[in-house]
Amino acid sequence: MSALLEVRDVAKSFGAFVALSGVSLDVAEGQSLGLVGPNGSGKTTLINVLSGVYKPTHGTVRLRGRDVTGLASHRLCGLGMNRTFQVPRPLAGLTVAENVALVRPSRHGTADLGFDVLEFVGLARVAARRVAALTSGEQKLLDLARALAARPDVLFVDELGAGLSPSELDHVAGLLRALRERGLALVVVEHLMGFLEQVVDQVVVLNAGTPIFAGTLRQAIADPRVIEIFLGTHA
Amino acid sequence: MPELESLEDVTTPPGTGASPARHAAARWFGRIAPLVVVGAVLGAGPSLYNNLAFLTTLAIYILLAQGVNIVYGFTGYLPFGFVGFFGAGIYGSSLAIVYWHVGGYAAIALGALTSVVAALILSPLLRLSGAYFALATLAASQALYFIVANESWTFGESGMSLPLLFSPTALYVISVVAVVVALIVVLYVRDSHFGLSLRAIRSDAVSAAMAGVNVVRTRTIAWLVSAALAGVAGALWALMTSAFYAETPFDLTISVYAIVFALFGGVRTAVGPVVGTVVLYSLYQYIGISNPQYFELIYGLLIVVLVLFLPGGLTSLVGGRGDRPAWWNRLVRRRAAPEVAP
Repeated sequence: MSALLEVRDVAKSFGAFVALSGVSLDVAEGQSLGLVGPNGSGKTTLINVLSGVYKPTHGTVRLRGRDVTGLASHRLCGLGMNRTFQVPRPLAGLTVAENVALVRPSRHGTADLGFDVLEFVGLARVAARRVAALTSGEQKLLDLARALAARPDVLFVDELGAGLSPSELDHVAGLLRALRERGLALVVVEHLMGFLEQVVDQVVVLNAGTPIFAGTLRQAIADPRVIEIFLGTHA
Repeated sequence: MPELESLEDVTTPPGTGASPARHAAARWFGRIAPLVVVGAVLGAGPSLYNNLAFLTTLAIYILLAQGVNIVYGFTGYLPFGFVGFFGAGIYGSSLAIVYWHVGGYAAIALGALTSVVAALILSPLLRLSGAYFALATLAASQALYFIVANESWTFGESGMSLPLLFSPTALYVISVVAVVVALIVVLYVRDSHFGLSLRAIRSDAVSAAMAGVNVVRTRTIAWLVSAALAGVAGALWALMTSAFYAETPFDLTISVYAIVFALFGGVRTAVGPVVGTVVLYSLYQYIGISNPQYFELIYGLLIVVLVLFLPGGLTSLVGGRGDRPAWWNRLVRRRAAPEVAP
């Protein structure tokens, strides 16, 4: 079975600085892949490359076998790839409902979620409010709702859990599990291991822009290379 | 002014507020009322103040202010060199009349087309932002001025001289029709998915792109539409003035006035630029010509007052509660419920 998303040997440099190199990974339909690594290891850069914010310096990205390398964000949105932002970026000049109404659902994507995205994330009651009136947690949920309104097949979730209260974390983990059950492929960047354990099947560990481990989260925690980059050798 | 209760179609979640039928009726009233009011006021203009040259210039400034409204109000790009499109419209229409002997309506269309072509050539400037964009458009408008003022085929030395193709009354009627058409364009931009996309881009271009908005194309269309309005304004000015040198069409004061008029009335609204132009240009007519030194002083003060107390423009006073200035909300509340006061 060919993967829904195939990333092959992707590299990204900014001038002389190599942010990513030799990144290859596959994500299958309904799979939830965790992306972990210390700060500065290239997790968000990889999502920026895969979501069209940056063009890769090298490598290919395929979605359902189609080459989508370097396509602009709005094209990727139309083809069924979407993302949330580490620092949520809801459209501040618009109301909550407008943020979602703006989105034209992907024509190529197959994942008709069959629910109202604001109802799903729990923001329907504040639909008429302006973004400025939302809490930071609600802004993160709106970012997720905006991404889901595009009916993606692949969703990149960039540190959605950071800064949330325990109950909000449970809520978000529940949402991500529900999405996975509906067949969405998820790529989840997260530092919170407890949260990650609830939502992903496999993880890829990045260090200095290169994958150093792929496997289950339990295997990752026991892997000496992973322990070394997180804790150092002489801890 | 009900037209300021904008975008109800996408902002109001189902199941809240009035019934859909009443809602749709209110929405259409909000669109048609400004067209009727503006059309009627400008149509009655000559019977209120019998000076067609003033009234036609007023209509021309309304078109320019609406152009600024679209490019600045909805996309956030401040075009200091907006006068360049006005000049392009003036010379596009004038040269078509002189060389090809086209009729008046064709001249207006060609004026608009010339501005759109100029905007298309300048569209890479949209990659710039903030002050860089403002200054680049300024430089572009001055470059256009120097070309036009120094070439013989543009009559840079001798000045332009055109036959009179319309009577003053006919030209005024055409100008009012152009203002109403511009208002329809702005209402469309305000209420459509296109306008929502523009506001999204203004808010955060990266996030808007992730919502599926083609940022470059959407922004460019807004830029071309605003240039077309300035081009029509230029063609009308050429037909009205008929004899001129390049200094007047490319005068930077025109950019400044169009921007101030639009901001004073309120950008991102349909009637704001109309109200701003009518108030300020009438003021200019009243004291600017007899006492220009005091007029500039009053203008300066008005801009300061605008920035400090009315950042949303005059029409924000009657807008939705969230759009109104805080001091105005306090004032209105105190008047409405004096018993609450200590």
